[in-house]
Amino acid sequence: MDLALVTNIAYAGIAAFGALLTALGFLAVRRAPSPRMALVAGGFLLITLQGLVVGLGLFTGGWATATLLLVSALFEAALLAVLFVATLVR
Amino acid sequence: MVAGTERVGTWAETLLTFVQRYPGVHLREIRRRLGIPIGTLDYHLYRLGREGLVLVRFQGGYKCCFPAVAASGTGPIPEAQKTLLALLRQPVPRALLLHLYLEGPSAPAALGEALATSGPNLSYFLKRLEHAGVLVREGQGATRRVRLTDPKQIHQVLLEFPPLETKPVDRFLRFWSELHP
Repeated sequence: MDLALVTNIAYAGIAAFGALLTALGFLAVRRAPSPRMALVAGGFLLITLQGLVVGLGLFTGGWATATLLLVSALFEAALLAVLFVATLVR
Repeated sequence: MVAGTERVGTWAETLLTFVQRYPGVHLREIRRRLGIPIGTLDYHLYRLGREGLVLVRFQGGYKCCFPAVAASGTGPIPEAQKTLLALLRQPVPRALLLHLYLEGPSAPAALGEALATSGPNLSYFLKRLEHAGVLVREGQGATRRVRLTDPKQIHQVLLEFPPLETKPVDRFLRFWSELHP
C-alpha cells in the first residue's frame, strides 16, 4: 500500500471535514456570539488549516518529513491551547 | 390491511414519542417536523387524547400538545409549566424569555434591539406574555422595565425539557455551549 497516498487522502479528509465544521462554527457564532463559540470555531479553523498546509506539503513533496511533523505539531499545540481556553470561558 | 394497520400504529407511536420529548409543541410544528398530513395528525391526536395519553389545549391561537405523563415519569406536567412550555416552543416568545432570563430585567428598547424585532411586534408579544403571567412591565417612560415573574420556573423548564432543534447549527451551538469543564 502506498502510505504517502493514504496520508495525503487522510489530510485532505481532515481539511474537508474541518472546513465543514468551521463553517458550522462560524454560523453558530453569528447566531449566538460568545467567546466560547468563537474559540471553538477558531479551533476547527486550525484543524482545517492543518489539513490544508500539511496536505499540500505532502502533495508537492517539497518538505522534509521532519518539517511536516513540526508544522503538524505546531497546529496541534495551538488547537489544544484554543480548546483549553474555550473550556474556561462561557 | 396489515400494512395499513402498521402505518397507523407507527404514526401514532411517532407522534406520542415526539409529544413526550417536546411537550407543548403545537399542531403545525408537529406537521412540519414529522411530515404527517394535518388531517391524519388531527385524527391521531384525537385518538391519543381519547386514550388519555395526550392532552391538547389552545393557547395564544395555537393548539398545544402535552403528554399525560412527563417523559421523566414524575407525573403530569404542572399547569404553570405547561403555559411556559407552550410559549418556549414559539421562536419570538422563546427568544424574549431567554433574553430576560440570561440578562435580567431589560428596557423594552433594549429587548427590541437584542431580538432585532420591530416595536409593534415586540409590544404584541410582551402583551401576550404579560397576559400569560410570565412577565411584568414596570415603571414609566425612561425607567420602563420588563422582568420575569418567576425566573426559577424558567430555569426548571429549560433544564427539564429540551428545546426543539431546527438545524445542524442549533445542535452544534447547543452541544458546544453546554460543555462544562
